[in-house]
Amino acid sequence: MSCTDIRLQIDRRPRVTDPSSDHELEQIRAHTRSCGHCAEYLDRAEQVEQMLLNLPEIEPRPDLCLRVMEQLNELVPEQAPEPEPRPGFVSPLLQQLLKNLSVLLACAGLLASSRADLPAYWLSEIVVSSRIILGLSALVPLEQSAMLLAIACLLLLLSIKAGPRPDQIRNQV
Amino acid sequence: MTPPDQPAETSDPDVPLEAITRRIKSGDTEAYAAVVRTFEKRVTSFCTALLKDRTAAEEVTQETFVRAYRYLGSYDTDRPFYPWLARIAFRLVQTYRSRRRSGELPLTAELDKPAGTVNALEDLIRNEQSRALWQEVCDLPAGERAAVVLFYQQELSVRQVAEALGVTSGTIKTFLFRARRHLRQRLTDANRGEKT
Repeated sequence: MSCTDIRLQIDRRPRVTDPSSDHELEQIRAHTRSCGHCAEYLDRAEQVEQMLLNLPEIEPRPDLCLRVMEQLNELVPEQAPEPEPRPGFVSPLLQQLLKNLSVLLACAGLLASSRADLPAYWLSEIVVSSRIILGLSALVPLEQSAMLLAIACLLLLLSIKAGPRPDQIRNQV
Repeated sequence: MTPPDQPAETSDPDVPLEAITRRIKSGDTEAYAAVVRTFEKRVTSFCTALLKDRTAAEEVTQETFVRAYRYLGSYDTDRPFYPWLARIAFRLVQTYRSRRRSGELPLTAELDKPAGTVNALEDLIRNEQSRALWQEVCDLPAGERAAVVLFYQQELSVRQVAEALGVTSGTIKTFLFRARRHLRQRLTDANRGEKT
């Protein structure tokens, strides 16, 4: 092989002394043993390679990691679980109002039922009221919601006692 | 030594990335600190070589780690981590450069001027010989500089360097060839200067 070919081979190799292509390296070595100019060329190539392999790393700022973590903490909000609705979720005033309303409805229902069948038009009101109370019971503390549930059940029982609606009576007639 | 065209590694042996990724995905942000500490020198070196500006390199390095954290879900744990990280860094460097060109960012501490390069490198590298070497690398064109740092200093394979820079393996081989030729020429000139 000519000197030009050998130098081309040296230039083509990303790593001059890469042992993965032994045959090619052996050819280069054989040539450089007998050619001083190419030996110098190879030396230079190896020198450059060594220089590049020994390129020192640049030290980052000592607080780089800290700064990255701070930035990440700003990005990622605290992943704490959603808190349970606290007892104070519904304002105390509203809680008192609910309690009074429930008691009032329950008393009215009981009084009416003790005398006779409830008027037919009460049926829808009772059902709606009991539904509202059921919904609200989810918002208040446990002991109050238990009371509201009990009242809602009572109202639903009363609805069974309610008489037929006027339109139903008309249909029967 | 690893064959130059083959991937050098499948994952970084120093960092149990799979376990760390799992911990991070489950909300343990602190686990990411290990990743930052492992790769901070390499990313800083890469960004400094490309930007030749210490402040800019620090800014881009920090952003690289933040961006990598945000996109960690898309990282394939079967592949080596650093080439993926280097690709993010390279893209951010390109964005930074285009912003600087468009005038969005000031040209302060720009190291493209040779005098400025030496001064800034003095702060970063204390050893005179190492500094001279860095100076030589910094004088190379940008593509060659990036390829040289990733291939020689950070020991990525040609294929991994190509992936990181978004070009073909052939282009990287050309970059490396040109870089070596430049450096060899300078070395020859320096030797001639010493003899005379």
